[in-house]
Amino acid sequence: MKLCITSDGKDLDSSVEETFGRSPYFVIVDTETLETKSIRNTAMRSGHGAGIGAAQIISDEGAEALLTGIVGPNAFTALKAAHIKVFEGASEFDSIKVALEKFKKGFYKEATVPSGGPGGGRRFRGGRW
Amino acid sequence: MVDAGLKGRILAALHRKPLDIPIIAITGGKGGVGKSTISVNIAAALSEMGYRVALTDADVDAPDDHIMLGITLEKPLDVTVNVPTIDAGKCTGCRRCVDVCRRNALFQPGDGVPILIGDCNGCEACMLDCPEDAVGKERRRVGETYMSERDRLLLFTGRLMPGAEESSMVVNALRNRLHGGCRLCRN
Repeated sequence: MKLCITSDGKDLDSSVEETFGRSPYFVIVDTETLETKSIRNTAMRSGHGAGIGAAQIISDEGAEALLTGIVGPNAFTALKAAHIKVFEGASEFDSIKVALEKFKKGFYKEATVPSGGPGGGRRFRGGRW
Repeated sequence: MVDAGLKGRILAALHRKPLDIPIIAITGGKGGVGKSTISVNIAAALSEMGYRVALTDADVDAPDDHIMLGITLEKPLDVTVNVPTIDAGKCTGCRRCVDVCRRNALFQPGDGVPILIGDCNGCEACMLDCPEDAVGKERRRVGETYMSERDRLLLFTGRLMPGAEESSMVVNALRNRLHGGCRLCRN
């Protein structure tokens, strides 16, 4: 299964990003072959609808599941339409590698409803921009 | 800084307008500083002096000039925007509508037909860009304009629907109604 994990950076040692739409990178891991690929989230700086744009990007990459912290309502609707499974609850204190191990052990549950509210837009977040 | 050329053009534009119907604009970025109070009082004073006045309340998020004047809003007209509906029969899945949407409101699952998920503001770019003419229009009500009359005072009011973001659409509709329906402007 091609699993997409929201990430702070490009490789397996990067930290998990807890937001979906405005996550800087997506690391896509094939859970059988462990083949990885990272893509930049070009929807990250959208004025509106970053979650929907991000869902479009990972759907185009052929992701079958998503692991992240929280998914908002619009992104969730888009992901469901593309038949992408949503796993929430990943922590930014874990690296992609650790999150992947936890995922394989069944640590994360599949979400049936979006746990996050609508996104806060391109807001200022602690000088990271 | 306004450059000299632009300043000249603004002045020229001002002088092209007839000055027999003065327009007084009252605005300000801060809330609660007295914009409505001043507007309503100028309008009331002028109409009491015998002038015909068209007062326009373009504060569409919270119009309250009619409350201060004790006027009931009359003659409502709907303000609508067009949101896309995609004809699955005509759509070839080229995704131009999804790419052109600056609000990422459209999403295309796999090779399927795009669906409207996000907040469409009715810009109609998707409808213009579709090469197959597959993006149809569906009306969505975003606000109302009103025209109320008391003696020599004509009050134009715009009101945005709760939760709607299209304040500029309501303001534009209000301006068009003012220019089209106001007897003062047409003389």
